[in-house]
Amino acid sequence: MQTAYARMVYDRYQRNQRADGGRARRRATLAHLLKDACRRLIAFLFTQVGVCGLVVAYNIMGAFAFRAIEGDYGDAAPEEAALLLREDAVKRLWNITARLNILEQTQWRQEVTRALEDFQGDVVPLVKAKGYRGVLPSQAWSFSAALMYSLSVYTTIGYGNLTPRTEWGKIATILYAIVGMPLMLLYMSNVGEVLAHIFKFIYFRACSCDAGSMGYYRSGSGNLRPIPVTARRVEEPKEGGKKGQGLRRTVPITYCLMVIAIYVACGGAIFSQWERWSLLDACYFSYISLSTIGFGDLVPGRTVAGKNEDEEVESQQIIVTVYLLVGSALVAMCFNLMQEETIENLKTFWRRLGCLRKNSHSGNEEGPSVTGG
Amino acid sequence: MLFIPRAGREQKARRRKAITQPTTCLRTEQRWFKCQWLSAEQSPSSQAWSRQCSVASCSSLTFPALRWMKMGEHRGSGLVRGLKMVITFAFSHLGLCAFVAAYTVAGAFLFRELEQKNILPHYDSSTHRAALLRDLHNITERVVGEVASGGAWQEVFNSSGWHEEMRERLQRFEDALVTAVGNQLYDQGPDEQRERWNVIGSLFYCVTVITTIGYGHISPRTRLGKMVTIFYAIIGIPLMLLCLTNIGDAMASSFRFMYRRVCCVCCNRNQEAEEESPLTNPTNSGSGEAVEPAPYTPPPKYKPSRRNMLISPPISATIHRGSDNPLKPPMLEPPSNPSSKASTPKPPRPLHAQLTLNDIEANRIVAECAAYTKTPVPGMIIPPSPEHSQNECHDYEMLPPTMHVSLPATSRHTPDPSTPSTPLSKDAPPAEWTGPKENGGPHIVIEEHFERLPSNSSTRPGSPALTTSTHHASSMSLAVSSSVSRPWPPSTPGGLMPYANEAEEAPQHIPGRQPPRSPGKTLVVYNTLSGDALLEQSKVARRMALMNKGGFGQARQDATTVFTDPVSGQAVNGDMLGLSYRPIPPDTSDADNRVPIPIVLAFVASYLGVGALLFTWLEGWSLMDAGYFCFITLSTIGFGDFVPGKSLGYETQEAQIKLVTGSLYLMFGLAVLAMSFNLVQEEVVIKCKAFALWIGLMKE
Repeated sequence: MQTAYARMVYDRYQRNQRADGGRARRRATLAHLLKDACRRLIAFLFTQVGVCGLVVAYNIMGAFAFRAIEGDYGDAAPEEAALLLREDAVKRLWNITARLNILEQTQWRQEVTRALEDFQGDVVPLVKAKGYRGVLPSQAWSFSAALMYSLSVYTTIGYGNLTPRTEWGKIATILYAIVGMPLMLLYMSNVGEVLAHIFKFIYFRACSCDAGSMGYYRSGSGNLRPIPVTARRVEEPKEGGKKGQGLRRTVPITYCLMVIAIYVACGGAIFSQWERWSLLDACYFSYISLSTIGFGDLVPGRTVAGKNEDEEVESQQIIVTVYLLVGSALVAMCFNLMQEETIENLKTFWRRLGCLRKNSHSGNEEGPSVTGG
Repeated sequence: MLFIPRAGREQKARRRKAITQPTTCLRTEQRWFKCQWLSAEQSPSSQAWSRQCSVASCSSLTFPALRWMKMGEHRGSGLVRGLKMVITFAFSHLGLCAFVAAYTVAGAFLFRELEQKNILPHYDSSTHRAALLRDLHNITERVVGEVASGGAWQEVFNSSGWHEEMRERLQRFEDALVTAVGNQLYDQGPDEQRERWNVIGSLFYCVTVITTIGYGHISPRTRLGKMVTIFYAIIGIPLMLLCLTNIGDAMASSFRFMYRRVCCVCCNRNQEAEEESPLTNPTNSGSGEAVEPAPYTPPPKYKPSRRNMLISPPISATIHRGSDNPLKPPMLEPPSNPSSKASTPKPPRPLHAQLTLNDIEANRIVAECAAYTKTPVPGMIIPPSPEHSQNECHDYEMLPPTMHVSLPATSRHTPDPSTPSTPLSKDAPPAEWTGPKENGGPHIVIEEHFERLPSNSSTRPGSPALTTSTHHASSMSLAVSSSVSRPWPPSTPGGLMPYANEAEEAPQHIPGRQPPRSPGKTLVVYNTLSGDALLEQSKVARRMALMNKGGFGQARQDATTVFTDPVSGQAVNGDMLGLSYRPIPPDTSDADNRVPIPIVLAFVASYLGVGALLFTWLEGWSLMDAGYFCFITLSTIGFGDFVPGKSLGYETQEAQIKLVTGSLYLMFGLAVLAMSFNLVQEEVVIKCKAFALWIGLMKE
């Protein structure tokens, strides 16, 4: 039958070949080649390496775009207004000084104080309403600052130390976020999975050395690699209580949390050195950034943005960007592992409660861990 | 709620089926079926269970209690039952919402306690001004000293850079001022700072933390406050996500319900009215099933999931493409006018020969492929009479069309020997599942559906019964899938060569069971799709066919494996071919009335628009700014350049009202987003998967 079928197919194939003319076919194949190349390109872009490259490229592209929109062609009206205000104040002071003799202390002081009060009263609403930052947009939107801005947009951190002022900047931000957030999710799931695999491998390799000390890895010590999921599923329900835990090939939650904590602490140590924050402040900054809360009360390079030590600030901001990108992948990895572990735990829990008949878990509890990633 | 009784019935039926189904398996596929059913039995039931629990506990609190009583009647003491109830309530919508609300309020009081004591040295403008004044005076005096030493004082003033020094000093003053205003320390005395962390303010702060928005308009300043924030977020963020997911689920199902009620009723009222009568028929006549031993009980759990939609269209597409056989070229080319078929009052008999030939041609290919891949095709039933098993399947013209036309009438009414033993008939499924069972076999039901065809297909000949009413579509697909999923008769005569038999015999049944789809385009035998999948299928099939014909799929490259999945490029094996039973997706009842993506997007966009209007009115921002604020908020980016009530400084009554409005809008918006994710998710996943398969990223 197989031969019969093959013959049938072959006949048809031959006939098709005959039917199609030579030229038409060649053109078709050329189109195929093109399409195939496109397909391969897209396929590459969706691999782990491709996604990393895509995210980085997207970030850099965003940096340039926002720099162009907000920095070069941005709205510098508040800064110009502030400059005018300052000039006016100086002129007024000059007038006061020129008119009054400097020796008339009280009179001079009164007038200057009034002038300063007026100046302050003009500046404050400028800051409050128009978002005056004290720095010209072209300086504030340096390349690294724009890099951090675009990162904070598509990771939904949103520090808010730099915000678009022009309408086009706002529209571009919205569009950038719409495209960027799914991309970021893709990146997190893709890279997080790879990292999870690596971490698992390392973990079990490390654990096999001191199998006795760890409570998690008791049996099956000869096999270094984690058992595939199906095998684990089959094996597990048979083990009850402690033995089931012994067989488990998921990384315990504490380790995942430890990885995150170590990463946060490392970031804290680095940032506290750079920014002269306290260690707690720096750790707080890392955590708030990695959890994408992003208050923006502490932002690297903020205090000195665009004023002095330009190059140092730039490099620091770029390093912070890389730190956050890697960190989000790491967090995704930990969520990945924790989700596995949580599901296993919940399954056991439900089974023990008797809510579930078989070794299935209710979809209800999967929610947080799934969406958490 | 509508779902509860139905879900209960489903589950009961499922439990019974779990017992009955594997016994009907035959030895050839017994193992396969069994493991499929075993694996499938667990997840859907549990999912349905959790769903029921959530739905029931949402509607009324008595339901979970009843359910738990029922579930725990054979096990568990009162304590366990109570614990279960508590847990169920905790994970129901109401419980989760209450928990999140309580958590937020607790956090508000906690942070108020922590932060209100901490008063920062606020920016006192008078002291800063005094310092500035002193500096200015010093500068001026120094210059005056130079003047006193000699020279025209105006030149001295100009040359000594008095202006520059003044300007520089002013700028420093201004910078301090800007920083102070940005950090909200400007003119914020102890009272104002304390006021900022009042209950409402800290409530809003907590909301911005656990939703990860993080405006940063107020942020903790004390060490303890920072550490507490970290731990508060560690617990709060997953909790919030869980709550949002849950609420999104509930909202999505209600949205679907409303969508179906509002939109589809308006659009297809007349069509539904037409379908009303045949729809009620099988359910009402289900009472007769107890008398009649059910020859075949449809596997209720194995309504094939929508995922299989990806399997069927490729097959049909491949067949369609490959069927330009020189022997029968004219019959296969167009979807030969369906109206002619639709207008026939009694379908099985007056089928056009042309149509039948199409089917036969296609079916033979399928059969041969099945034989080729050694695949048992469940749709092809071996009748008890073995006398037709003489042919060899590679012969193209062996099967005379007349035989196939005439056969359905005879074979339809023969009771199948594969009927399960009579005791099982007591465990007959409830009326919903009984459609295929009446009158001794699934064929009748399908014929019935087929007979219903003309009325429907007058409007849409291509896929009439599939698009008009989702309920109808699902029931029909049930019937089809049941007929397809019928196991092999145990008394197969040619037991050694079951595939050859099947390959030969299969076409005989095809005309009778031709479901109302575009003839000659897709194969009916493999139509093991659930209703929504059928809905989707026509679209996807066409697209796949195009894809296939275009030839940039891999299917074209290796023409020897005809049953290549055009997306994965792999030869379709038995699991993928006909036996495409998977566990039910968690909410098939919801999936029946899916909401198209554009509508969901429009809903979200309109929510954003309403928010923009609201904040334009409330805050006086421009429309652009308000829309930008809504987007930045709902995407949880949260820059904090626009915060409701920011311009008023968070202390006044009005600002607090705005804060409350903003947080309400925000919470509800997040729920709306979760809902739209829920609505869109499945379709997007399917599309992405198809795309990934197409570009060769994913195998299988």
